[in-house]
Amino acid sequence: MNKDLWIIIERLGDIVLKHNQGQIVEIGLGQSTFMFSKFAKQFDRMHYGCDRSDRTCNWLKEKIKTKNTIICQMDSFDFMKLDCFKNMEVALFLIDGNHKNKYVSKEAEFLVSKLVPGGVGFIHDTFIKKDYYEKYKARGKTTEPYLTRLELEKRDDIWCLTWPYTANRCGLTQIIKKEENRPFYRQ
Amino acid sequence: MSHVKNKKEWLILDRLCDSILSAVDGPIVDLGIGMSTKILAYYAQKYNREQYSCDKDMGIIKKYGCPIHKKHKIYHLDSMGFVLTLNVSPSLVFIDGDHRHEQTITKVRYFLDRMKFGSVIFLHDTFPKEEKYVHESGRKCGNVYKTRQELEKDNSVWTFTFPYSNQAQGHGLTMVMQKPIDPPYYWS
Repeated sequence: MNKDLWIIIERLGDIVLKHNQGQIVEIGLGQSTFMFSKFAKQFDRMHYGCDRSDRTCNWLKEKIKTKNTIICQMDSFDFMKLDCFKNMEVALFLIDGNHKNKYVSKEAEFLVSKLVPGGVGFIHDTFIKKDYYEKYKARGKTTEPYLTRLELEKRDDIWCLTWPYTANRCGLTQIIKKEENRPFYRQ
Repeated sequence: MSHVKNKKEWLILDRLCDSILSAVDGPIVDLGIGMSTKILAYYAQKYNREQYSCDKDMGIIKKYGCPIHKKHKIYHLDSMGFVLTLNVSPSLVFIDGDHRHEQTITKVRYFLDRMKFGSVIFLHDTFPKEEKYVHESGRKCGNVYKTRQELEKDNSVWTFTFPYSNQAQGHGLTMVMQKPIDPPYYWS
């Protein structure tokens, strides 16, 4: 396992949660789930995660025994329809699930709308390495989170920056929600 | 993470240095000496980098015990004069010197032209907490918020501002990174 895979989220997560109320949401589970679960416990937040793989979900349910983490074995479209999201505010999220733009784009739109001002979201694989891209292509698959990054870069209600290193050097886009009604020097 | 005392206000800078410096070669440059200089000095030593720091106030240079390490070069100069004497390709730049927009944007552009992809410029005072800190003359936060606003409109860079009240004295810390030039279509 690459110990620096999520180092940027590890290093910023507590700062984000100290400053912002709201829950933690994760689409696409794995090693990152342990990190978010730890944050949820430390800051007494709920951590909701989903993954389509029953193997991944069962493994995580076996390993993580805290009431703060809820693991849902389902597609992200079904996950986003859960009642718990109706009035939820999100302080921290990670999207690392299906690589098709129709998924990533909807997930980002949904989670950015739930993000509190100052809350931070991350999207993985937005700046993929050439060999990874070729691997996907050879299997007849597409990897499109970069399209979501491009959409997000055009938005005025967020700031976003993409780290080209860490996260397997496949790009980690970091988003922060701006406050509404800012004075001229904070516009 | 560094063991610099009283670094709370600069935790974000402290937390991100490892990721940047382990991925990008080049010296560290900081304009305006302070607590941030001490944090950057820790990482300059850890990653064996040159560190170039400047301040026009000799009292400040002495207060922070500069130079802090063997590869730490101190310039007792106005920040614009300092920048124009440097000809380096830094991995990380921290700008907290002259707080006038015209001066600051000139320095940012100067460094962006010289930095490798993945290098980061940190800009302080880009998001003042109250209007009383905004001065066209450059006092306090000056009008550096205009530098942030100009960079946000520039499609060749990514910008990201931390607005947190107990970080960077509550006046905002903006990261600026050049986007890749001529990226493949699956990046662009």
